[in-house]
This record gives sequence, C-alpha cells and structure tokens, in this order.
Amino acid sequence: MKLTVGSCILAFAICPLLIAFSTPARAELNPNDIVKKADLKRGLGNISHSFNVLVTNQDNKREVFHVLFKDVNNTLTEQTEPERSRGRKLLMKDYDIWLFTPNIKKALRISLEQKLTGEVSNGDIARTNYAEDYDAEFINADKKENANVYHLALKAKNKKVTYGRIEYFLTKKDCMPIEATFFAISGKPLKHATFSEPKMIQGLPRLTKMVIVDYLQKDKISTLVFTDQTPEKFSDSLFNKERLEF
Amino acid sequence: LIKQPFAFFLIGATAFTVPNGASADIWAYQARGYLFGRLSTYTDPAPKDYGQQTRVQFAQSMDFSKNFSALSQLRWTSNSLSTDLNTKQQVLAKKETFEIFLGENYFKYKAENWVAQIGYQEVVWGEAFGFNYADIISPKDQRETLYSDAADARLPLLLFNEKTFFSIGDLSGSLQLLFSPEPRFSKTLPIELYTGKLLTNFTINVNKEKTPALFKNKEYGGKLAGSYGGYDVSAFSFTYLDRSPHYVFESATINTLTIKENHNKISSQGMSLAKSVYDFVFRTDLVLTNNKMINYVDSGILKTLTTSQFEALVSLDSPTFHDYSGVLIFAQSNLKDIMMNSFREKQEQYIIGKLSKNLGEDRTFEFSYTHEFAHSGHSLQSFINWPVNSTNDIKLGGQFYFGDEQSNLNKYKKISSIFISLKNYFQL
Repeated sequence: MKLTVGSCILAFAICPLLIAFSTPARAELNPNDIVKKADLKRGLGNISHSFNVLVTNQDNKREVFHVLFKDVNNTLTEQTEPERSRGRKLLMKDYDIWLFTPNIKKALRISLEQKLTGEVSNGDIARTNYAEDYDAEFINADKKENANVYHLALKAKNKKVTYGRIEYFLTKKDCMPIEATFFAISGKPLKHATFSEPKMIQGLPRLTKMVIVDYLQKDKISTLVFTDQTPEKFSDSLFNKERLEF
Repeated sequence: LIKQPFAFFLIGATAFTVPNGASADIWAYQARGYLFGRLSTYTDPAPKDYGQQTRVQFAQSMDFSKNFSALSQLRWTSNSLSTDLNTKQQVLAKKETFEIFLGENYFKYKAENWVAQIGYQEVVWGEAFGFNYADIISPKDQRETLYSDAADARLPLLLFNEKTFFSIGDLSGSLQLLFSPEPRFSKTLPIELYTGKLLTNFTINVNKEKTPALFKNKEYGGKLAGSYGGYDVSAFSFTYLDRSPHYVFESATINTLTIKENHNKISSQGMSLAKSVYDFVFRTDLVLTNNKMINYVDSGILKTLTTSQFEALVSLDSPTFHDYSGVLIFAQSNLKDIMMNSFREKQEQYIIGKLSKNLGEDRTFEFSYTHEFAHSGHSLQSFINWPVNSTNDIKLGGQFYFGDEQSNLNKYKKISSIFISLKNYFQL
C-alpha cells in the first residue's frame, strides 16, 4: 500500500478524534464506595480511636459520652454526665449490645434499637459506619444548596442494624454527608438528621455536628457534637462484657 | 466504723492521698453522692403510720495511677418499714430504723487481662431481674427489696475478688474467683412476716446473730462466664453462710417466746443464660441450694428441716413499640422436702408483668403487676419518674398488696401506699 501525503494528513486528523471519543467517560463512583468515603467524613473510620460526644436536647439538657472505638465491631461508650447517669456503659460487639448501670451492677443484654437518650439511638453513637451495615444504591442526582449532591438509599444488610433504611444526601465533590432520613424496618420514618461543622481532624475535614429531629414531632431535637478524636490502641479485654462492672 | 478496720483504713488513706498541685495529672480524686427522701401515705390502717425513708450516700473515688484506684462510700439510711410492719407494737432496736454505715470500700487493680478488688464490695451474679435468685453473694436489706432498686437493698461484703478475661476466636469470657473471710447476713423484716399465723399466741423476741469474727468462717466460690453467637452463659458455685436466718428456740414464758437467729453453711450452684431473639431478649437464672434450713412448728415446738431448694426464673423483654416496652417474668422456688406448718410453702410461684412508657425527656411511666400462685396474692406498683433537671429526680407513685390472707404478698398489705420521692445527685 502506498502512503500518500493526503492519507497521512487524514490519519493525523482522525487519530486524535478517535482517541478522544474512545476515552471512557469519567468513572462514576460506586454507591457503596461513596458511603465508605462519607463514613470517613463523620469519624476516623475503622481506626482504633477514642472520642467524646456531647448531646443536648431542645431544653438544653446535656449528656456527655466517652467512646472507645476499637473497630467497627467493638465499641464501648461510657456516660460521664449528668451525675445521675455517670458510669452507665454500653458495649457493642458485632450486633450484640450490653448495658451496664452502676445501680444494677451487672451487664444486661439489650436490643440495638433501644434509645440511648432523647432522639439518639445506641447505634447513632456506637455504630456509625454505614458502609458496614447498609447496601447503597443511587436514587437520583439532586441539587441541594447549589451543590451537586448524591441522593442514596441505604438498605439494611440484616434486621439487626439500627435502621431499616436511610435516605442519604452527600456532596458529589467530596462525599461530605449533608442530611439523612432514618426509617424503621417497617418503613416508618423515624427521624431526620443534618450534618455540619467540618473541622480538620487527623489530616481530613470531618463533620463534628449532627442534629437529629423526630420525624413527626419536629420540636424534639437532639444535637450531637463530636470532639477529641484521638487514635488509641485498646486491648481486647476492654470489650469483654464481663469487664463492664470494673 | 470500728467493726470495719479495713474500710476505716481506706478512709484514712484517702484523706492523705488527695492530690495536690504538681501530681494532679497522675492522681484523680472525685467526691459525689446522692440524697434521697420518700414520703408515703398508707392506704390501709396501720398502727404507726410513718412511711418515711431517707437515704444518703457519699462516695470518694481515687485513681492513684492508670491501673490502681480505690472507692470509699459512707451511707446513711432511715427506713420506717420495720416499724410499720411490726404488728406486735414491740419497741424495735434503733438500728432497725436508722443506721450510718460504710458502703463499698475497696482497692482495685486493673491489668490488661485481669482485675482484682479487695475490700467491702457488692458482687452481682445472674442475667435476670425481678426476682434476683442468682444474686447470692451480697446480703440484702429486706426493707428495700419490696419496691426499691436491688442496688438500694444490697449490702457490701468483705471480699477478695479476682476476674480473669479471655477470648478464643469469637468466644469471650471470664473466670471470677471470690473469697470472703467475714460472712455477713441480710437485714430481716419483723419475725411475724416469716412466721405468719404459726406463733400468734406469743410475743416473739429474736436474738440476732452477730457478724462472725474475721477468718472464723470462710466463704468461697467462682463463676465461669462466656458470650458466643448471641448467647451469654455463666455457671457459678458459692459456699457461704445463709444470708437469711433460720431460728432456734432459746426460752419461753407463758406469752413470750425467745428465739435465736442461726445462719448455717450452704452451697449454691447455678447457671444463667441470656439470648437475643429478634428484638426480644430471653433471660433465665437457675439456682440449686443445698443444706437450706426451713423452720416449722410441730406440736407448738419450733423445729428445723434441712432440705434443698431449687429456684428458676425465665423472662422475656419486649422491644420498644410506640415508646412502650414490656417484660414478662415467671419465677419459681421449690423445696425438695417440707413439713406441715412450715414458715414457707413447698412451691412458690410468681408471674410478673411490667410495662414501661417513655414519656420523653427521660421521663418514664412504669406499671407492674405481680401474681402469686400458691395462695393467690397480688401486688400492683405504678410510678412516674420525672428528672426535673440535671441533678434532681421526682418519683410519684403507688404500691398495693392484697390477696388471700396466707399469701406472701398480702403480708405487706398494711404498707400499701401512695408515695412521692426526691433524689438529688451531687458532685463536690
């Protein structure tokens, strides 16, 4: 085959076009990966660490919890305020949960859905990695406050998790959670949460405030402020039910 | 205080170890407690209508290092229940209504895989609540067991308490060893509550048995516990002086009988289990006690029978539904042998239903009904618990006992009442 000047020019002209059209479009993130990324915006992820949570309700009643997070399946929460509740401990291992109160003096197995305080369920403090407990899928792309957002439906992987379903809005730019609506296994809407106040913690911007409003009684509000996130190693025995009394 | 040299030492040591300035980052000291007062109005005629109860606890906790700490509690209790239940108009000893005593006072050392506590402490076994059959270690103040928290009824015991923790794969558990050189006894109610109608012709004087001297009697036992696959299981054994007394005849006149308390050595073995079933929680405690001594009256003479006692409790906690939750409990206590005219029945069975409603902002409403099968006794209790602010709780409620005259629950009929209580928590 004889190459002519014309055919060479044509080849040079067409090649870039072919390359341009054959380059795949920018890959859309998998919804479960988005949730994983978002989990890192609400905490330190699956790193062993401790943190404090201040919960205030609509009447400014405050409660303070100190949380030891070994991994997603081992969490120990101890209440430090108010005085009447000091020393209450909540241990979560996988989907098992035990409550220790200083007056009963023994750790009692309880169910995950029991409320810890106000509008806050045990799982809202002690089991916050949604990627572990829910399968995500896109509902549609949406626009909230002029930012492109993901609108995801998170479906419980099993009946042991805190909620049956979560509708989750996150920024498309950096998978930052914006708001969520939580539903019971029965499908009944329970509460609505908004996430705010990002701060640089351990090298990443992370949201430090969560405001939870009862879905039906809008005047029932709990505000959670997360502070003092510190990477820390813990021995296995700290997460032993039999150790709670000590 | 003098009877508890160890605790006395601890309080003294505390006073000298309170941190100051430079070492404050290593040492930690906290003082806290509560004040509690309760007023009742009896709904049935009572010979002495006091219905009063006050309780104070002051506790100091000290962290000497990350692993080593101590707790020292002082308690005050004033409770008119013994006087109110006393049908014979006898003058009761002052300590039956009022006491200041040392609560938990112990040193604690926490290592990575074990913890040891030495001193006066309260240890609780079992998975269930309602009837705390497996709660065999600590003596109880039986004036408090009718409607109060079990914690208010529990009394401390001098113990060496060591617990080792282990995990093998998904199984986590512990082995606990207990040793006490100083057995203690439960604080009992007026004797008529136990004798019923058996010795009504006499005024009965009871000589209480004193706490044995240190190391004169020894109590020991242990518990092996594990959690695996959603099950919490434990097996335990404890050899101890019976916390409740049996009585032996001492002397008598035409209308007065003097008897003496005795607490013989008994041994309890048992097991507990808890399991989540969907959003329900199933619990059971099973306890077998050998060498239990039961009083009976034979031809007007007070005698005792040695027998075995088997106690079983099963319960089911419901999940929360529209802010309501419930518990259903069945409890049974069986004696292997029994004589005619015994102080108790061969078989005692109870069923308890509890319903709670979350009223929001930590306010709760509770209603419970207890049915006694042997002689058809009944008890109703209901209250609203209202945390008015971060340090004060108000409780308003009522408790009513009725049924067949022979039933255990009817024995408390005269303290059926409505009540109001206030609890203040403080931190210094």
